[in-house]
Amino acid sequence: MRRLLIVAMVMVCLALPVRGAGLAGYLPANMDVTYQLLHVDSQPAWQEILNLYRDKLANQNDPNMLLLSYIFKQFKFREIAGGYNRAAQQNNNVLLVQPQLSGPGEQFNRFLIDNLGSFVAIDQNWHQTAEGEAKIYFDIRGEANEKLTSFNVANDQVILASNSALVKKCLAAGEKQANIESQSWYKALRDKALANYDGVGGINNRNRNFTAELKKWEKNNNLVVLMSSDWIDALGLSFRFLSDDRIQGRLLFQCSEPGKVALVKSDAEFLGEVAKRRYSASQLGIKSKVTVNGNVVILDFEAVNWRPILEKELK
Amino acid sequence: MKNFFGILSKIILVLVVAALVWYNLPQTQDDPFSYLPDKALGYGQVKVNWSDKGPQELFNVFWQKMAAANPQLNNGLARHLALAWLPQEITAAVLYDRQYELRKQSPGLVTVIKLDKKTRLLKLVKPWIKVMSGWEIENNLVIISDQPDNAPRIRPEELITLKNMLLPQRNADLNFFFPNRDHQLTALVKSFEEKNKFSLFPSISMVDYLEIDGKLADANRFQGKITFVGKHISDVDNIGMDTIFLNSLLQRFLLGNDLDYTGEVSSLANYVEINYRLVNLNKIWDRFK
Repeated sequence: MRRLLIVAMVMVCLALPVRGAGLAGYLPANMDVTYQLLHVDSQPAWQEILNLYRDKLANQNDPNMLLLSYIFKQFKFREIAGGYNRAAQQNNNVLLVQPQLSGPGEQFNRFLIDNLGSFVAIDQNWHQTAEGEAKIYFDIRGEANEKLTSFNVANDQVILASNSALVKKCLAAGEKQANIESQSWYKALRDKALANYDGVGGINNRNRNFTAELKKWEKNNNLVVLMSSDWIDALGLSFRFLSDDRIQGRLLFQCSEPGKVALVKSDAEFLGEVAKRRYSASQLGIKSKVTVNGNVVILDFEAVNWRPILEKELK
Repeated sequence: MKNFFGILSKIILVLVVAALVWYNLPQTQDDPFSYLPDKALGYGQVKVNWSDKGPQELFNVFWQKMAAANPQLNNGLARHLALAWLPQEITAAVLYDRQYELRKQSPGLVTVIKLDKKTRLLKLVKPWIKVMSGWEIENNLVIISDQPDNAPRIRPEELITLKNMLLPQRNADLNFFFPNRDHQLTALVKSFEEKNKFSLFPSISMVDYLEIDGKLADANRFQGKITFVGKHISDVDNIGMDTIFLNSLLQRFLLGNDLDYTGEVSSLANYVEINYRLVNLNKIWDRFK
């Protein structure tokens, strides 16, 4: 009777429709930096970028990166998302991938389990835990750093995270418990993102972590990039591929004080001009325009012939 | 014995009087500009009146720092002597040529310091100063140069332009003039752009000359103008866009070095200028221990 009940439960689970919220719904609410790549399987440009990224990972001589590289090589994805939070005591880093599979995730699940030994040394440090129906594999040595050493394969997505607690948080977020989509900074950026974007990213700067990181860079390089960084609450980027070699993008700066909008605008104009001048010697053509909508400064841009530049940057 | 000291004191007195007479004899005055090289990238002049408020405050800042480290300097005579030896006028030229870079040499530099009568004393000590090679004393001038002796001097027609650009009706402590007639400025900017793969000032070839001047309002404030003069009025839009970007970059670079800089860009006819102001120079002086 008990076995019958378990079999019935498993069948009900398998019959559940694929989750419609997208991978961002699995990102915990406390992520400071988030990104989401959409239409990965249907947009040829994504394939090209992922191939370049895969090659870069494979060259890093790091078992962890090699695993990621192999995943990128073996599977095509529908969607990829990720995020991290450095404010937490542990470096919280998460990557979610939704492989393009004909059935539920068994094939991928089997692949990971079967091939894990080829990429990471399985020994007493590797643990496997059960969290409801979901199994979390984690390397106890990697729990304190930001390398992706814990993973879970469930339904049609894979969660790779820097520690097992974060995998649990992602699973809870997927159950609509405090995920990133409930955060006002994230919603505000998503509302003003480009329509039909292929990629979107955001940085929560209400805690001024980004400002602090940027100021460190500015001090080391003796150059202030954003004079208004103390008054920026959030930054967002969205873009879409218009054709093989044209890309349209939007950079958003959410200002914390109406009196500082003009300063944020001058920073946005400066960034647009730097991008134009940085690539003017190459064949990349960039046009940009800065507008203001309430407390949000919007830098719209369009770039032509971006592929050679990206190849160069990712190699 | 008494006679001996009497004679000795008379000899010393005669020597002192002779030295004073010699020191105060009128000295032939040379024109510092005539020693500058031809076809330089830029010419500059620092002409400081140390009794003005700004320079005086600046001198006081440095003297206090030096006196704090060396208590023996903490007396009026040492301060007076130091002030007397400060040059009132330094004229310099920087040479730049793509060939320098290709040969991996640093650009040439010629500096002319006007010391008036004090050059007589320098002449006396020069034979004992071996380390300072490449410097000469000509009448009232000390010339420090890394150029060969037969290097061509500035052409008379350029000399007139240069004097008009640099001379003191501008009421500035510091003046720079970068003629672009032989395209050295263009070559320098293009070289920077190639090295850094960054289009800093693409309209530089349209610039006829660049002038920079500045005045120390007090020990803490420095202000002046940076002027790009276009070859044609039609060049001003392009030069203007590059100047606006340069102004913004300058502000961010100086802010990255703890300096508060503000600059306003304006244009008229064939020139574009930045009226700039640096307001917290004490942060720089504080770095000198």
